Amino acid sequence: MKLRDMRPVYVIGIGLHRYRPLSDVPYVRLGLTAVRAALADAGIAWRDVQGAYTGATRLGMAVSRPMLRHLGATGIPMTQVENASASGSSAFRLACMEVAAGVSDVVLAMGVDKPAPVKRAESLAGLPSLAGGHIVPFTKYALLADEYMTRYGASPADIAAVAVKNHRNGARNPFAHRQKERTPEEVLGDRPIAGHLTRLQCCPVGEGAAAVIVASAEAVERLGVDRARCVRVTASAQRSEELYGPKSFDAELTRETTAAALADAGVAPSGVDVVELHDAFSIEELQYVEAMGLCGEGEAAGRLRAGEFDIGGRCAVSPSGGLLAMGHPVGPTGVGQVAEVTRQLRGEAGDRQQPGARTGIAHMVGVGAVCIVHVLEGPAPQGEAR
Amino acid sequence: MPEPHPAAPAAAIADPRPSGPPDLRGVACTACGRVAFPAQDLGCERCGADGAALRPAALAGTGTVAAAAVVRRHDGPGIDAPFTALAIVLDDGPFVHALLDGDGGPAPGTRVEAVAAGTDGDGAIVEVRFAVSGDAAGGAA
Repeated sequence: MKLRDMRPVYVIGIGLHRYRPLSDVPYVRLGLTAVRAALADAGIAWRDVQGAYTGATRLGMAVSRPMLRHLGATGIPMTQVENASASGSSAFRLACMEVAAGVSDVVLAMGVDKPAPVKRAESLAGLPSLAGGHIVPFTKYALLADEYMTRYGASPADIAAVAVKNHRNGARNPFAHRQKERTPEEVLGDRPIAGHLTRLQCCPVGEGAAAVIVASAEAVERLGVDRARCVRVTASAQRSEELYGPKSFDAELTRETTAAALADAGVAPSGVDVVELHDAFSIEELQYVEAMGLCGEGEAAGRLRAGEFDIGGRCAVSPSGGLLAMGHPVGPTGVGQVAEVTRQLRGEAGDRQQPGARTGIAHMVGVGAVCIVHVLEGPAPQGEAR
Repeated sequence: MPEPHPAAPAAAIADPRPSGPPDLRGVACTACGRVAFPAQDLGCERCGADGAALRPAALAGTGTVAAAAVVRRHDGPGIDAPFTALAIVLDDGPFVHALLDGDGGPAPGTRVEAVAAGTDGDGAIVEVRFAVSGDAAGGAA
């Protein structure tokens, strides 16, 4: 069943703790900062929240209650969610499902994380490989960049332009890990990592927290939440990898999952105003805007150069700064995307506001591989029927 | 305290031939025809068949470079950079990531072949790299 055919679900509150390099501040304090901000943003109390999902990947077992008990023990269900980079997106999806199904009226989806060593389960599958630990995410994306450049005649500067745009956006985001504009020369001349990818074209993985509160229409009414600041979740799609041969599985997964989400929401790619996508590495944005149908295959570099994906362009891509500048603390990342899209659709994004934004997408992929896409729709402008 | 998930001993992944590159140990599914690397008996990724439906398959150690990347930095223990990572379409079908035996970044389309890069005490090949083929028309970039 489509989310849109179930009980309507609204984002009513958002909150963040800035993404930043690892510090000695306990995760509990990061998480509480985000949750308290989300409660204040919604104008509701912790006792109004009926369930909680927490995305986290490197904090160990049972992260929720040692943190959330400091809001007052209310006995609500609390569940940890791990889905690699998409952990926060999964937490949000589960919270939406719980409200849509009528199980709860008000649910918290949050993410909190801190850098720490992690083992990937795939390495425990008992199967040999040809390259083993040599192939890490940036290696894989460096190979995809080489393949993309060969196929479409793109240059290193075309790929670096993604990072230039997203660093520019991040410089306007007080919650971003990286808040500094960078010139093309700085991005291209930065420390080489793999292939054509330099350090500034790879996302920083630090610490942080993000929280989003979703609610039913009944709860919005009952709790007196400002309807003009409620953003509806019109689709939630999640898929896992199939067999794609030599094609980029992340791009193919993105293609299928975004198409499913947009179809469920009844939105064409041309109707999307704001996109937050998984730009852990610069090359990904070029591949994903094509896979999402925001432009044709091989056209992304030219469209980016023409400013179509800038704030103020046809469709703002990663106005938060994306993973490249806002950062990728992992557990919070997918929730932070929803917070940014909500802010944009409310018209509250200040100097990084996409003018007239009504429809937005939050997209994450995660190792495994999985992909999650949500479509959000902003409140109707004043005087316009909904 | 013991490691909860001790590393498995390196498994044989290729077999030498009297001449030419070693064969890679792959798997063929007799139920759906899928050919894949590495060998496994857990179940076919396309159709789910397991047990006797999965047969060992010797894959020719030859293929074509789809992409290459010189890796300048790597945090993994016991892994020294730089090295060159390759995406290769094997002549027998499977798409694999592997390491270049050599320096630089061969251009997409370059022909490569398997080279035994490590053997265990019994002489089984447990590590394979790929080298630019001697008869390559394009050669390394």
